[in-house]
Amino acid sequence: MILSILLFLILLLGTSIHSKFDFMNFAVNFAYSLFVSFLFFRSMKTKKISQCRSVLFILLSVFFILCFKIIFTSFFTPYCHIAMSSNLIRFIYNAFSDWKVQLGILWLIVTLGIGQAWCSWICFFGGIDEFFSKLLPRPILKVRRLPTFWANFSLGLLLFLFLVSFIDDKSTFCIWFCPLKMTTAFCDSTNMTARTIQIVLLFSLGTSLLVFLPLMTKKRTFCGVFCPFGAWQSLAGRISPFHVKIESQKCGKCDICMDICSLFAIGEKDNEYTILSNCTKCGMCIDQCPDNAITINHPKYFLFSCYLISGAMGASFIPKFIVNCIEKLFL
Amino acid sequence: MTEVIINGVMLGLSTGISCLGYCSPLFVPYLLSEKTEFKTNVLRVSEFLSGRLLAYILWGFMIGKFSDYIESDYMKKVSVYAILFSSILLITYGMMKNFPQLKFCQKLEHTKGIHRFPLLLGITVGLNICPPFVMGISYLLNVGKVRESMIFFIFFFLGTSVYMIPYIFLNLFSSIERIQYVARVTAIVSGVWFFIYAITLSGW
Repeated sequence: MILSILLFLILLLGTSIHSKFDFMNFAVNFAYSLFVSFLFFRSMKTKKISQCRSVLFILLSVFFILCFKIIFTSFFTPYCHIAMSSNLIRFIYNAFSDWKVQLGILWLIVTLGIGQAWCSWICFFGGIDEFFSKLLPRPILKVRRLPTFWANFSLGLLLFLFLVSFIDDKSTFCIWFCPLKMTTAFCDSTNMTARTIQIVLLFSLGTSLLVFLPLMTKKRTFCGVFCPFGAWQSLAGRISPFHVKIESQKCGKCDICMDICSLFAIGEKDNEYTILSNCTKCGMCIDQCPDNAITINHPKYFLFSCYLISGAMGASFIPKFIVNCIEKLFL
Repeated sequence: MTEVIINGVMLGLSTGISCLGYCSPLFVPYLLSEKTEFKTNVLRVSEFLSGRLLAYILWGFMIGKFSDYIESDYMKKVSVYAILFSSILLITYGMMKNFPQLKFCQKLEHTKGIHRFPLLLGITVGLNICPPFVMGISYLLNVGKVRESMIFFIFFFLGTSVYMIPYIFLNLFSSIERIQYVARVTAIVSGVWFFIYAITLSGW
């Protein structure tokens, strides 16, 4: 309860400082902070992580798409974290301008705190993926494990993007692979052959990885198979103090965790189940395990950190977006 | 002649890091995809560099002999076909490593010349015109002599090869099995991307 109140106060203070001091802004900030704190409180009370997380996660994505992709309010488009991982070299040798340094520091703080939980608590791509993976009650195509090639695809793509960043001063991921690029301007030349190939590639990646495959398999295929930032976080995120583990003495090998894990993050080694490095700490396996064999260390502080960071990210645009909508529609 | 040698070496040393950047997306996946001893790795890198040297000597000869007739379109076409061939080589190699159970890949494994992969890659990469190369060509179009052009490119090659030394130590990373699997995926991704890149350059 105390942590919930603390979370509420921090979010309310943070949102109030960064918005106009009037009744409408205060009311929206209050409602938003209360909503996030309530989700945290409910998670703590029910001892279930994933359900409330899912609600916040998907809402973040929905609002992100409405805010920055559907032109309704004139917001600036934020710098995408996915481009950051593969352009590290450019960041270092020619991009030490203020805001990129701030972004790098922000990334470091979040990674030190919650590691790869970014992928299941904050990332808007992940929210889209998660939304479609939860639509159907049962998978049409059952996939429990990935073949070696696909299991290493995201890391392979990250390595490629890292190598090609030496020769291309633009973000190769954004120009050639990002599904959401369909809705924004292209930043490279107007070569029609290139543009045609880009549009075909972006459209097919977007529809298959973000919509159809999650719908059919109930797995987050963009995040689990493709995303280079996820691959980057699976390496960098090890510095986080929070880890999920399976207690082999309690584990009944019922395979429920393998079926439920949407990111193929549970593996088998020497006849024991293990949590792999690409685990995004979504909590689905923890909630579903009938033997209570899967746990996360310091769950209270983990949940508080996740709701705080996630809530703060949402607070940077959701209340402002809602206020703008109200003003445009009713005033 | 001294001026040609000094210009070649200096251009190579000053722009060689760019050459490293252009070669890496094609060559690094190959180097990381198999566990090898240091000596074997040195041989593979030497084979790659030999391919580059052959390509540079060929360019030197063509520019020296035909400088009055060479147009930028012709050079661009050579570059496009070189990138295309490099990408096909890399995709083929990636397929062989990732899907060895496929009959097509098994046939390829026994094809004559497939194990000269570093040499073939070096030749195609060397034929591709990267920005430092363009500067060299611009200088040589004014010189217009075969011997001087070839010598220029030999010393340009030596200057750029200094930056290729780190490649010989990549076997330290390729001893990790996970990195091998990742590099094999990168080989295919890199090959496909360069294939698309070549098509966009060609304007087909």
